[in-house]
Amino acid sequence: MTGMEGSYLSALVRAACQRVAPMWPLDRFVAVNPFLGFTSMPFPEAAARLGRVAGVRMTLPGAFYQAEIAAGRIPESDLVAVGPAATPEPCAPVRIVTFGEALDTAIGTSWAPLADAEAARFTASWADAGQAGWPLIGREAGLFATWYRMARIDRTAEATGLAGFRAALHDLPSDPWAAIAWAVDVMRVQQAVLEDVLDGTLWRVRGWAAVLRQRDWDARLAGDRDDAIIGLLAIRLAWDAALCQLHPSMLPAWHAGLSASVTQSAVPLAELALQDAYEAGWQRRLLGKLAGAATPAPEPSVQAVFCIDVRSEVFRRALEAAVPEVQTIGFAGFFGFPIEVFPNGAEQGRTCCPVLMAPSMRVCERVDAPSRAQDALLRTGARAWAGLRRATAGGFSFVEAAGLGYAARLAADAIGVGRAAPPPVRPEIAPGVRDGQATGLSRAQALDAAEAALRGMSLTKGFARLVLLTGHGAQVTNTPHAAAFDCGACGGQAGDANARVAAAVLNDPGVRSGLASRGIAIPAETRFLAGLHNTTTDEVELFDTADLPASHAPDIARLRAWLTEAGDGCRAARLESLGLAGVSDPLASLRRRSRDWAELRPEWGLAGNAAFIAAPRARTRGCDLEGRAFLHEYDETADPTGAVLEMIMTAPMVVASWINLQYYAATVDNAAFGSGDKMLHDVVGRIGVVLGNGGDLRTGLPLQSLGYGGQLRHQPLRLCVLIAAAPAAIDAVLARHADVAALVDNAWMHLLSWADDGSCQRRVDGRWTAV
Amino acid sequence: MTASPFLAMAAPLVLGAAVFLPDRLMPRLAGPLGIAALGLVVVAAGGLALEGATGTVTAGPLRLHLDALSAVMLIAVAFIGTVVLRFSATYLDGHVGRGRFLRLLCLTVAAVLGLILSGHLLQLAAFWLAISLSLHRLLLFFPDRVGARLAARKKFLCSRLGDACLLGAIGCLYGTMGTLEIDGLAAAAAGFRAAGDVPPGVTTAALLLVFAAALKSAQFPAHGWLIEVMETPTPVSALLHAGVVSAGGYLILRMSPIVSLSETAMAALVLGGAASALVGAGAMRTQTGVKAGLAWSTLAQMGFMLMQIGLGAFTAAALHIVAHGLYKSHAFLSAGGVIRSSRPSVSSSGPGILIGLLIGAVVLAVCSGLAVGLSAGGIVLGAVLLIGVAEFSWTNRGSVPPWLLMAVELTICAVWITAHLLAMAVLGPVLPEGQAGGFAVAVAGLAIAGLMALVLLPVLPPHPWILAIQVHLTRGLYVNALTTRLVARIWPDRVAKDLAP
Repeated sequence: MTGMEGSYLSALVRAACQRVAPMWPLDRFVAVNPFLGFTSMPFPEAAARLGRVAGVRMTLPGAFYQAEIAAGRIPESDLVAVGPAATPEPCAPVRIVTFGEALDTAIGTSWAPLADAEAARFTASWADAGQAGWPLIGREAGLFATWYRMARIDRTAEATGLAGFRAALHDLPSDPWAAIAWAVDVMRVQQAVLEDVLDGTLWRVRGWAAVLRQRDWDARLAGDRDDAIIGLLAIRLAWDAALCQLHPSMLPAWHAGLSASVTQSAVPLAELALQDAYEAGWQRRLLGKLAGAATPAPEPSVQAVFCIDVRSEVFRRALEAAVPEVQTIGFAGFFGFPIEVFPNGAEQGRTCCPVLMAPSMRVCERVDAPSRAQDALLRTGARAWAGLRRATAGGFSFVEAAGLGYAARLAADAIGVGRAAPPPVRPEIAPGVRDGQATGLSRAQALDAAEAALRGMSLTKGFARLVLLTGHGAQVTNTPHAAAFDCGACGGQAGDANARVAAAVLNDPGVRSGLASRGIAIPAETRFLAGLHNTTTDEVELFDTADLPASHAPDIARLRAWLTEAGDGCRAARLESLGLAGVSDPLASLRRRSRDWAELRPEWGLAGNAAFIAAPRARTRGCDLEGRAFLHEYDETADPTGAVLEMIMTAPMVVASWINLQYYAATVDNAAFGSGDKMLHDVVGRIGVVLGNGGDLRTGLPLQSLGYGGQLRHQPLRLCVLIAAAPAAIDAVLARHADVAALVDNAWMHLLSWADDGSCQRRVDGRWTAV
Repeated sequence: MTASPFLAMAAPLVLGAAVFLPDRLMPRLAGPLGIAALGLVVVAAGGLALEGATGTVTAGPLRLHLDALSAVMLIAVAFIGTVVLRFSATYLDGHVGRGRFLRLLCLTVAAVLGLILSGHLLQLAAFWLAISLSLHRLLLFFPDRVGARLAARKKFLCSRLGDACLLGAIGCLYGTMGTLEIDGLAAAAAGFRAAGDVPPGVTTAALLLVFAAALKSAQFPAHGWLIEVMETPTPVSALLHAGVVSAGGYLILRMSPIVSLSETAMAALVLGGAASALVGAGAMRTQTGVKAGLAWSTLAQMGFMLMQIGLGAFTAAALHIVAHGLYKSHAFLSAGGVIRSSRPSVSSSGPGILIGLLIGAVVLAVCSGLAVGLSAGGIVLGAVLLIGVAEFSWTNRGSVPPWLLMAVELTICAVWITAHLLAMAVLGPVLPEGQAGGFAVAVAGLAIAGLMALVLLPVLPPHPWILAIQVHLTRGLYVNALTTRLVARIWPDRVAKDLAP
């Protein structure tokens, strides 16, 4: 029955699975736009659709906006501007329900939550990435095939009181596609509601669906495909079909409810209008701030490139305030080098590049021979120790032998000592071989990447003596979502390795002569230097300074002093938001906080993000953007072909939008798009977190990343993008990239063209209007 | 007259003072209260070490029993409690219920300390109940969560059943011995032992004590609530798994003069403990959630501890309680760091070697145990250790150089033996080894075989019946599903019903 793969149903199934936004595993937990599958439809339509199939909200409740209006933060003029529907009326979406939910409501059972939990639990066992000491047997057969076998053994449903469950699955086909067709047939789902039922069913297991969709994403980057998500849909549908077999009399009522939901679905117009007004206020404030900016900078003695991350904005401002002769530049924090890093002795590499691309360069850690053997032994030892802790028989004696020693560990962790972060990996860019595969960068690869990076950051002339490439990473401990605090452009890793590779390549004489022949002449005295901005403590560590000539030693010493001063300024700006206002030694307090194993808010991450500005820094310099803006350097005059603009709008701008919508969604409806309270997190399969005892995996950001003490730290505002380029140039890019145009024209972000004279035009429905 | 027991009793009183503190002061004071309590019990233990035990002393309406056993337990619980309190003060920052949460934690720790120090069974029962009630409030810290309410109801029912058993035991003991003082009971038990005649009331009491302890320690098949308490903030799990569930073990150790009078009660401990140890260890291996795995592991460890008691290895059980508490609280509190921790090693070699190693381990344990004249309990513990060593050798033989593997194993054994010798030196005088009956030894032997099977199962070729065992074990033999059903029937969730449309 695999023949149905080309059928109408299978097309719907594929489309439904494509609408699930992927979720990356916790070790590279990058931001994802949770509406990724819905950006092809306008924001209001998506809100209506998701309200119907999942019962989610895409704005805050009306009461929030009423409070803002009452507090005078949404002025009357904005309410009028966005249209007449600004009076809130409660909008309770009529949600389509699965068969199990309808059954539960009718007869007072709780089989639908059981089905969700069981499907999730099974998928966790199947997808487990090294947590269970005894992994699920036979999972190589594929998700659905393994479940099909296991469902005949597992008696959980019967033990919970669902008699006859396994018998009800007797006719279930063993192929996932056929199983879906069978379930649809058993439940006699009509075509008109089929799409909604598929969406609604996947929504019940959205966490694991997102993980499986991510597997497919990775597979596709490698030119392959992964259909496990189809299997999950089949499993969840099979549960409903089994319930339907056991309670066939419920079918007519369910069908009636489904058609009612489809006809009753409504766009939450009032809240959407209020949200528009709320955003208009922020944009006016932003443009007002920018109007006064644009201070010409003196000739730079140091150029410092930072990631576009909103946290860099605070640091850049502090650095510029401390030292006017520093020029700062914003660029994606992987600096144009998509690398996979292999720490010494590690079995797997770390992918350090945006998840939109596959890494094209493999670099190993640079180590001396004795340290190589030592590292390998240490890693083996750590793994053996981890194994002993969880051994079947060893566990009993282990506790008696080592348990008393844990008193010391408890005491050390309680006072925050002895949790040293692993030292940064020093990447080796020279060509080599690892496991039969080439590592390091070839000359051509290095040259191409170097050219693209410099052009991308609009840095092709006027080089200073010292150019600092500053990646960023967070120093946190005991946090499942640690990767969310690291650099998104580096795939949820700290950006040090990328910065070091970039600096080494750009200092290479061969690369420089190649660049000169391509029109980028870097003066001989210019040196690139890699650094890492610790976003938790605002310290900047400099790398490989010994590789630079002695002539630059005074420059480096001066730079260090400046970075320290900038760090003080940056910390001063952040203290209040962390509840540390007035502490005597901010650096010591933040260091302590970063090592505190009980700290659920080591820092605020990208909370507050609301704007993306692609423009020369001179136009924003001196303007306090409150750590809410992604800043990308862009010089329109140096980009006659529009190639750099195209790169910015298709990569960094899209990534910024992903981050922005991730925060937006988790704030407006955390139950649907967030991961709830960190205090209840249990890390499952080394992949994601569940809340409490289990159930589905939770996607998105936890409550602790979004607010404090009932107050929102992140205001949900769709990204306001300002590009210092002519509307025609922007249109040209959008014309070539329909998916990016959809983000703009379907109101998933606001796009403004920012002219040199400070005036703005906004693109609405494909047309430009003056602001 | 010595001050030590009174100093120790000041510890729960200090923590109990949290009742009078306003919410807003709790975050700042919870840690210092814990430290003060810890300081008091440490000083009391020091005094005890200098002056020697004094037996039960009277303090107003209370009877305080401070000896090596209670001193060790007091320090362990106060230490873990202090760490958990400090942790929670930061962990709940920004949560509206932080003050209330910290107060409940203080009260729970205070109640455990009070229980440990009790010199009178009724007093012990009062603290026993207090622990359960304050814990119940903590389990419902997120009252909107259906899972939290379910776990709390399961726990509540088990606890009340346990209370009934404890009160029944108290009744029987008072009826047959005429006293409820810990000292008096021990003396009376010694009399029965000397006379070689145990009245049926005492046997009944011993069995009821065993049931009460098994319910407190969440033993199979009453373990459902234990593996569901992740519905409340992590520090509760840390305290619960580390200091509260072991109260059952402490009760039996305290009452060991009486419990060991009944061979049936001792055999029941071995039987229940072994079942819990095997089911828990089997389920633990298949869990994909970190905290879920830790919870099943607690079931296994508590089972093993009760089995040790049943075999008469009282000091080993006391060591197990303390060491497990320290280990498990750390494991829970640091559970968030798993993503950046090392993956455990896995072996790729075949089952043949492992079978050989396991058999060798047991033969070695039995022969050497007999040679040095160990009791049956000692031989069983040695066998478990050596099975663990065999498992470790097999898992790491491919990746660790042989000399290092050997060195590590010898170190593990040496540290293990040292820990036990230390426990015997400190606790031996108050906890003389018991005797294991023939039935208990036979059950323990079966448990050893079961443990070997558990070690072997993942290695054997994947036959369908192995998949079946894996599936059934993963679900803890469905006992929790049945419990859920039972609880839903006798105590339905009215809140959920009210919320339903």
